[in-house]
Amino acid sequence: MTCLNTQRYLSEYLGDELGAVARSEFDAHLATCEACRSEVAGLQEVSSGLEGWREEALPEWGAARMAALRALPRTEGWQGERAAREVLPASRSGSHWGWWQWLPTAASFAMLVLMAFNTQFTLEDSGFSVAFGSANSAPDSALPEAQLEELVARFEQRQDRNNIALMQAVLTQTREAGEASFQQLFSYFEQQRQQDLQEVRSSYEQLVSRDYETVRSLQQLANLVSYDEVR
Amino acid sequence: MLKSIDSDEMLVAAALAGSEQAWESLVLRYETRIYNQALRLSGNPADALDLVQEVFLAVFRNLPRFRGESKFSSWVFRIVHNKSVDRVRRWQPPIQQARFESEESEEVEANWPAASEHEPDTQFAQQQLNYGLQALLAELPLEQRLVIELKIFQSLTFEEIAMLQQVSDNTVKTRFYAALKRLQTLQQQANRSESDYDLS
Repeated sequence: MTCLNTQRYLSEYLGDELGAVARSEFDAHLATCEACRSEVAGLQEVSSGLEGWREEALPEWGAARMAALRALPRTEGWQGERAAREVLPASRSGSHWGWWQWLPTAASFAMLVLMAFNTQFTLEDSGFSVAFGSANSAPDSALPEAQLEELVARFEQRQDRNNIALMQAVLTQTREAGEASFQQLFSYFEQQRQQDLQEVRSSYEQLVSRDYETVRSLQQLANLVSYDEVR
Repeated sequence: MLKSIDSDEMLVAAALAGSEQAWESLVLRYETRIYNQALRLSGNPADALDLVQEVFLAVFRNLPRFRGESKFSSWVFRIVHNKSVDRVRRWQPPIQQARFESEESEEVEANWPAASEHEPDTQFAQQQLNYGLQALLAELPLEQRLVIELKIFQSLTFEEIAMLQQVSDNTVKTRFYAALKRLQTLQQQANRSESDYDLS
């Protein structure tokens, strides 16, 4: 056996689970290998040290809980699982829900079902009745045909009147809006025309003024030329 | 009549038949073992007692369904194991607190039996030894702690542990070796700290 094999069988050797043949080979290797012998001795010391544990009695302050556990059959019987949990002091483990904690959830679910099926409860002289779905649909479908046609005709007349009134209102509003728009447009054009005339007049006056100045300048120039010729 | 009933299986049958005394005998027979197991896994008495209560409640509820296909003790310790796995994850590591109090009591954390046998107050020394072991075990990851518990304290085989934990035999052996190595290192560190303390 080599050191590598020794390491492989070390746990079984320390755990006293190595077969007889392998164990004798293991021991033979230990007799010749100082490193493996030291390794095994150190781990055996640890293992035997753990075995030095001596059992401790339960603490006295836990006596009441142990007494309650010993009395479980007397207090609860073999079916008293839930009651056993209540009788014993609370452990830090997780607790189960009681039936009362499911009540709000159940009530919400019941309301949801009733709403989904549009349930109606009716209290009449003859007694109490429960209906699912819309209660108005049945009487409507039972109307006589003539009455239905009359209702349709009245509905159409009312719709026509409403439509005519609506059209008149639209036309009136459109005409009024058109007149106002035309007047605004006319005044805008008039304003623009006056403004343009004003601009043309001022431009003409400026042009005339410039022509006059040009003539004067020419006269001055002619005078100056004639004066030089005289000298 | 009860004197003739001494095996677990007979006590179970008697308890299910309505014998309160049989149930009480079962609780008395297992409560200390379960408490000590819980103490090693949790590191403090309050959590250990919670686990004991939880385990006995589970045994009580499931006893009518116990078929006797395995030994009653195996069945009980399977419940202990499963409850431990659930609870240990919620337990706070007791390491720092244990160390602090251990130093206060001027006792070595991992004082093996050879050294404590010379203590005048054997019971006190034994308590300190257990306390030191709890502190050491608390340093291990949960998987390794459980393997140490099942192998060394419950004397299960690697194969049984593998079945219980639903892992391979080799995984269990690896965890066992790793746990022992880790404990060895911790013990050496504690011994060095003790030497430094003596020298100063």
